[in-house]
Amino acid sequence: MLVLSRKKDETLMIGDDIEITIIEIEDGKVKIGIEAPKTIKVNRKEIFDKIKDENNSSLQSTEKLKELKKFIK
Amino acid sequence: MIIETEVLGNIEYQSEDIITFEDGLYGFGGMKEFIIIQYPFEGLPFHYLQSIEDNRLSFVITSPFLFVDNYEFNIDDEVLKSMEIEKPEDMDIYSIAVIPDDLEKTTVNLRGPVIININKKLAKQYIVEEDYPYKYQIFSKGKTEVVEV
Repeated sequence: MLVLSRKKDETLMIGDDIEITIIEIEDGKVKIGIEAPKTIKVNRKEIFDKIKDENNSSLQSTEKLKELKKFIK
Repeated sequence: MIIETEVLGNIEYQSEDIITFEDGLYGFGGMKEFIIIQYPFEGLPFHYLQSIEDNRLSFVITSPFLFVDNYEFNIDDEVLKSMEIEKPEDMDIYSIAVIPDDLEKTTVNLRGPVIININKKLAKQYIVEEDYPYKYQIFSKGKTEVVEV
């Protein structure tokens, strides 16, 4: 993991097109501004991980689909 | 064209059947081209979202509206625009389903639905802002009937 320090209003560049700016620092919370192409998905990691986990679990589910039939009228 | 699937054997499809996820699905961003395989048993409203680029990638999906009342969410204008969606009728919405060993505890992810532009064959897994659960149990006690579509 690359670790850099930034003060309020300072910016990081990721690649050529992604800018991360520290907008506000207060109460242990950092407000971060992100400029990125619309094709780049930006998400809080805990949400990303949960979505990814459900996708992964769904892959394991494909074999069980035929067993589900007894639950459906 | 034929895709050899692990669960359903060889499936034939046409190029018109191919749905393109510009960003792939979360965690699987590299795979962009899928087909939907309608589950062969009648009355079972679950399907496979099958990758045609990696035959091992097959997600179980279903229509959340069969199981959830008042499932509503906002979609960003920019997302609608990038998917060329102009009206609600342009869209199909599916949820990723998870079937555990205890089948009664089958869940759908209401927080990250799959949105499909039916006509343009464009799709996206979209994370909704509304605080819907990632694991919504669709078979609650005493509710084992499902309306056939």
